Parts: sequence; structure tokens; C-alpha cells
Amino acid sequence: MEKLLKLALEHAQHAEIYHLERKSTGVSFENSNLKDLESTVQCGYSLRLIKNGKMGFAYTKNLIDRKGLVDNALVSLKGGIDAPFNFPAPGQIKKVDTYNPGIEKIGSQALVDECIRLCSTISSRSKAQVNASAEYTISSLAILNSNGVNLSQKSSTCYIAPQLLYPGTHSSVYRMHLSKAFSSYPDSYLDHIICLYNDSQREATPGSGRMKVIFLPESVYTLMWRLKSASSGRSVFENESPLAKKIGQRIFSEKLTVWNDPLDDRGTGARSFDDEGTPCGRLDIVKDGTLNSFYYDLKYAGKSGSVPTGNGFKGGGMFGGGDPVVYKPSPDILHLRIGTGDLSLEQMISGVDRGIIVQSALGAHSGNIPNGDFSIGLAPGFYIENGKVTGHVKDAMIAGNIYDVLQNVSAIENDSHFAMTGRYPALLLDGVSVAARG
Amino acid sequence: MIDKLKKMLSGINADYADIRYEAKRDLSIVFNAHELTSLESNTTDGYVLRMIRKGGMSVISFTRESDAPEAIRIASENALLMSRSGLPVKLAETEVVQERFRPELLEDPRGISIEEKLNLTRGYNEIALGDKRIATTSIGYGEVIRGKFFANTEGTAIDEETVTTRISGSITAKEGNILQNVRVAIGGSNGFAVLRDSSGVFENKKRIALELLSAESVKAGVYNVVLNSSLAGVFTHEAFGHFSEADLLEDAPTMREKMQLGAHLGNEILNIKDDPTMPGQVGFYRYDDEGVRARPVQLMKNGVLTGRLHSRRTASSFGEPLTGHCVAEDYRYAPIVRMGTIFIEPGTDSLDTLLGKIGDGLYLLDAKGGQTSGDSFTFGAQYGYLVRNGKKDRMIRDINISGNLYQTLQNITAVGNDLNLSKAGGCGKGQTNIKSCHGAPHVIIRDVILGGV
Repeated sequence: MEKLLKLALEHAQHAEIYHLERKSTGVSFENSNLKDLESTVQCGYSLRLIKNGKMGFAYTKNLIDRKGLVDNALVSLKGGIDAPFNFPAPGQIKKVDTYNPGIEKIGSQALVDECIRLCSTISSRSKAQVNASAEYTISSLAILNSNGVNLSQKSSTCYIAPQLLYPGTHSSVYRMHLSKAFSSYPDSYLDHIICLYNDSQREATPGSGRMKVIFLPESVYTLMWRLKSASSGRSVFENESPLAKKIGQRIFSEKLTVWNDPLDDRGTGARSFDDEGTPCGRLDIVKDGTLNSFYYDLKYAGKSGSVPTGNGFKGGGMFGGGDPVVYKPSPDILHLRIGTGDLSLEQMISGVDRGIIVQSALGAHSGNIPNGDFSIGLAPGFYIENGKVTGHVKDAMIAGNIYDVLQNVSAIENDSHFAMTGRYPALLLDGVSVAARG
Repeated sequence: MIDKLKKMLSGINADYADIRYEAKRDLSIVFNAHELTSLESNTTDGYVLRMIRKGGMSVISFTRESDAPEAIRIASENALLMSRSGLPVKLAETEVVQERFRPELLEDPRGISIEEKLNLTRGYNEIALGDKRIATTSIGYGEVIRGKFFANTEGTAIDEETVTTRISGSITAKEGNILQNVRVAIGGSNGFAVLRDSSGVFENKKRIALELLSAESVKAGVYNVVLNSSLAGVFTHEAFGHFSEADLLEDAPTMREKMQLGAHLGNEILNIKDDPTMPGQVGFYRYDDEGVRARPVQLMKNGVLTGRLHSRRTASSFGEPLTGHCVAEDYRYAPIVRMGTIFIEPGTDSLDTLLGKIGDGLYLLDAKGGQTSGDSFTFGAQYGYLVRNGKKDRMIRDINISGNLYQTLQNITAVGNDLNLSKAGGCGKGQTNIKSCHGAPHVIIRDVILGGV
């Protein structure tokens, strides 16, 4: 990497190298049978150059041809793309615990055994078809720049995710368990998914109208996606955020506090610096319902005269599925948290006379996201009657705008769980529009 | 390269093994509003190795040639673990082939300068920006060239290239607090020429984005609708097509039972096909990533299920013919069952006839994201019109529809005479398939749920 940096600086005033290595092994079970076992050993490098205020970017998988990589960055530099920033100098980097060496000893067999245990336990307690997947990943990240930043971080993640499927569908009840090394799927999660499944075997038809709706942690990202979009420094700069002039104004119910906490290393994936080497820290987005802050990477902080918040990440879109090496950093939030409330999920459900629980949202990525609109199918949802789950709901849609529905937060779960984009409690919202046949 | 792959294979002690090396070249150019925000030209590469030992199959992908011995060791161990714990895997027999294949291109994009690509994209972007109420655009040129080398222990050796180009993105209009956006895409797998002379597409989409500012929100409810090609194609792909992918059914006994060949699932006017061999389409390829020659598959005939899409593994497990539909995104992934070019075959009705048949309802156009989970699906439409007395009326927006596959297949009660296929793909099934192509004529679906806002 040092050699590459030196070579790059022969052609540019500033340079930055990002390097990621990732090893993972995953197993999947379908209908309680071991179906696939896949491993991957990937590495990659990306290079950013700044010359006379212009940016060049390129990436590669191997470092066999350093000159070829620099040449590609020089082609990119010719585009004349503005770089209204410089790479950061070394800053105060807090220590976070992201790696448990126990991960190296897991092996495929342990994942297979745990999935077999889950499939047989669940099958003995319910009639569901059981699918399960488990995977462990070890990754090493390094960032080196011409201003002296030389950072690295090693991380480990293991996930285990059993699913209980309804007959004739891929709709399922699920909850994912994450840890830094292997740890068994918790009994409390097993009870949660098995009870929800057993209580909801009947297919229910909720009818249309405005109802109480509980978003489980697994579907809360539908709402947070819209907030992420609107509070991104990029959306604000590009004139497509409805929150542009609303800092200090109340936008949600006072019960709702949303913040980003990359330093929270109780779970997996904590970060002490972002993909540009800017130190990470806690950032309050919404405090007691009031909009507090937008988030920035170097580029959009530079463009809008703001301070970078340590939110420059090489994301592969919403689900982070892509290879980070191939993306340029952009403003992103990866560690969202929502302040917990004072009721257990069971208590929240028992207070609902008629309503719907959203387990899995279908089509969270469609609709007018910048505007805050959502309109999702259920895969599945659960129907609540008189404080009890009485069935599952498939053919219905839940729709609204987050700036309306999040005014009416009537309860928040007293615990939170890792799910897509963050760690969330369940949210109970009043008067959400439900459309269904019949 | 083929020789190098054969040498790697020769050192493997397995009942079957295959290895794929790919070098992928990406060129991307992106404009956000008037600003060029990205210009990148990159080459990446890697290997994917699959192995069967004693009926256990494993896969590993790796980047560095020097990691090959370690990768072979891990894959061997994992294959044996699979043979102990999993159900035995068999691959359907396929022809052994040795071929070098290059698609026919109208203008190879490698022969076109970056400046020309930049200028063409900038020109279309400026058209999209041609009104002060357009708040922003994100319009980009994308070129992906996959050079694939495949060899297996049966003696097959294939060197095939796929060349996919597109200019696509979104256009956002804003007035007061109202933001509306539409998507736009042109492209194909048959050369750069397909991108030329398309100003009208961008002009039209800009106009729609502006008109949406004053369109009315559709009310939640149940409607009879006419879908245009784009939306009906997304339905075909999302709701029906994924159910035709044998790997999604293989270990789902209750669904497999419903989806038996010969089952009467759809309205009798419904005929659906997947054909990756149709030349000139974005979905075109010759061999899949298991070295199986792609072939057309009649999936539904007169409402009866007549075929499905297979890998060698699923064809063997279902006892059905191979189709050549096992495709990977790139050098990082094992191939999985994917659609090629899936479409509803055209019928006889004109659009006016279809609108007349629904009388009062909605005419919905252009897809805006879709998702499916088993037999449930949801997708968005970019815009639409109220239909009154069989005639197009006021414009509507905020349209998301949801439904159940089986019910909807029965509720497609009329099919138009105008087949159109999509120009750019982007199906996500763990991996992204940029060549995923779908299409349909206009169709009527009765009793569709709209979510409203």
C-alpha cells in the first residue's frame, strides 16, 4: 500500500488508499435440509487522487498491477470532477471492540450443527417449514492517506437466522442473532418466533381503514430509510430533502429519539472511523421529536460548508450488499438507534383491540422515498384482535408518510434488537392506513 | 486462461469440479443535476470454484491466483461436510462443449471514446434538466463487459463475453413541498448503437415528472387496472418468474406442490415464455455459468404451467429438462437460477379495447421497484391515469399495488397486442443481475389492491 501511495503521489497532490479483505463461510438450510455451503476469500483496493481540486477514483481486486490502477484513476481525474475537500489528517480515534479471535475457530461444522439444532427444536414445537442460515465473516480494513492517516480495523461477525415459513409461501417469521464470535441462538428469540408463528397460523383478513400498527424491529428500517434519505447532507445539498430548513423544529412525536452510534460496540460492526478516515462519534438526528442534525461525508460537508460527521461510507446501496471497494464514499448512516420505551412487545400487543404487526415489509424500496412516503405489502404481517395475535396477514398494504405516522407513536418497546440498518425497538403507531380486499 | 483453469482442475480430487475465471470491465459516468459526479473505468477479476465429492457440493470464490491451493483445500473439506450432512447432489447430464463465443455488436463500446460517451450522456441529462422545476437528476452511463472463462472436469471449456450498456437514472421535479421522481433507462446487450437517438425518451420522462407535480394521489382501495408493458413485465418477473426458478421451489414442499407442471394456475389467455436466445435483448447470452447452452422455455401455455427454469442441480432433482438459466453476477458468486428474457406473449386487444373493457378503473404505467415473498408481491408504478367510461382521464400518482400470485394469474383477463421488452435490468436475488430482461403487452388485472399514501 505504501508503494502504491508513493506511485500515486507522483501524479497528484493528495492520495488515499482503501483496502478491504474479507473471508466468510455461510451455510443455508431449506426445509431442515442442508442446502448450500459457500465460502469466499475476497480482497480489493481503491484509490482516490486529488489534483488541483479535482478527483480521480479507481479500484482493483489485486495489487498485481499498481500502475494500471493509478492509470485508471488518472482517466477518472480527466473527468474534472470537483473535490471540494482534502483528505483528513490523523484525528482522535476512539478504541472499539470489533473482533473476537474465537471467530477463527468456528469452522463450517459448528454452523451446520447449530442450524440442525434450531431446525429440530423448532420442528418439535411448531408445524412450520423451517429454513435457517448462518454465516461468519472476518474482515480487515485499512485506510492510508497522504496527510498521515494510517488506520486499520479487524472485525468479526457471526449471524444465525432461522425462519418459520407459512405453507405455500416464502413469508416467514424470523429474527436474526448477531455476535462477534459464535454464540448459540438465544432461547428468548426462539420463544418469540415460535410463539408468533403458532399464534398466527390462520390466514386473517383485516379489512381496510385506519388501524393501530406495530412495526417490529425487522421492519422499522422502512420508516428509517425515509429519515436517512431526508437527513443526508447529500439530499439537503441536492435540494431533495423535505427537512432542509427544519433543524430545531419538531418533526415527529416527542417520544421519538433517533441517533447514530458507530462507537456502540456491544454488538457487531462498530466503527471508530468511517471509510474516509474521519473519526466516528454519536450523532443525534432526532431528539425528543425535534430534528437535530444532518450527516455528512467529506464531499458534501465541503460542498455545503458543514463539518464532516464521520458518515462517509462506501455503501452498496441500502442493503450494503455490494463490494465496498467499488464504491466512492457517500453520506451514509449504518448504526442507527431508536430510544427504547417502557412496554414489552407483549404489553404493546395486549393494548391493541384491532391492529396489525408488520414483520416483513414488501416493497420498502419503492414509493416516493425522498418525500417520506411508504406503501408496503406484508410478508407477512400479523393480525391482532382484542390484545392477542390471531392470524397472519398477506394480501394487505400499509401506507403513509413518516412525517404523519411518526407523530402518532403511542408506545415503544423496552428492548431493542439488531435489524437491517440499526438496532431498533418495536414501534406502535396509531391510525395508519391499511388497504385490503374484502 | 482456459489452460490455466484446466491445470487447476487437474489438481483436484473430486467427482466433479468446475472453475470460472472472470475479468470484468466497468465504465461508469454519472451526472447529478448539471454536475459530472463520477467518471470511472475499472477492471476487476476473480475465480469461482465448485466441487462435488461423494454427493456433497461446495463453492468458494477467491481473488488471488496464489490463494488457489487454500481455496481448493477449503472447498474439498466443505464438500465432504456437505456429503455427510446434506442431501446428495446430482447434476443433470449436459453436452460437453468447447467454444469461444462473442456476441454480435452494433458498435463495440470499447471502440468509442470516453469523450463521446460523456457527451451523449450529458446531452440526455441536459434534456432531462430542461425546466426550472426539475430539482435534480441522476443520470449515468454504465458499461459492463464480462470476459468469462469456464472449464469443468467433464471437458467443457467456454470463453464467452457479454457486453451490456445503458444510460439510466432518475429525474426529480419539485414545486413547493412536493417532490416527484421518475426513472428512465435505455440500453441493451448488443452494442453502443442502442443508446443513440433516444432524446425523445428523456424528453417524455421529464414531461411526466413535471405533470406528476399536479397529479392527484390515488385513494387506497381495490381497482380494476390496465398495466402497461413495463409494469406487466415487472409483474411477470417478480410474481410469476421467481416462482419458475426451480431453486426457490426445490426445498419448499408446499409451494412445489402448487407449482407442479400441468397445474392450471392462470387465466386461459395467459402464455408466458423465457427466452435468453432472442437476439438484441439485454437478457441475451449463449451459455450460462455452468456451461449449459441457453434455450427458450415455455413456462405457461393457456394458463397451464408447462415448464420452469433450471440449473443442472435442479433439473436433476426435478427430473425436468435443462434450460441453461444458472447465472452469476460476476467473479464473486456461484451461479444461481435466473430469468433471462421473460415475457407474456401478446394477444389481440389494442390499448383502447382494454381500457374499454375495464370501463372505470386505473391505467398504471412504468415500474418503480418491485418485491416478492413467496406468493405475495408488491410493486410501485411511476404514474397512472383514472379511467372513466373506458377513456383515460386525470393523472394520478403515489401508486403501489400488492397482491397474491395465484389470484392475480387468474385475474389477468385480457392481454394486449403490443409486446415491449425492458432495456435495462437490475434484479436482486442475493446477487444483482443487470441483464435481467422482462416484458409484456398491456394487460388487464381485476381486483388489485392499491396502498395509497
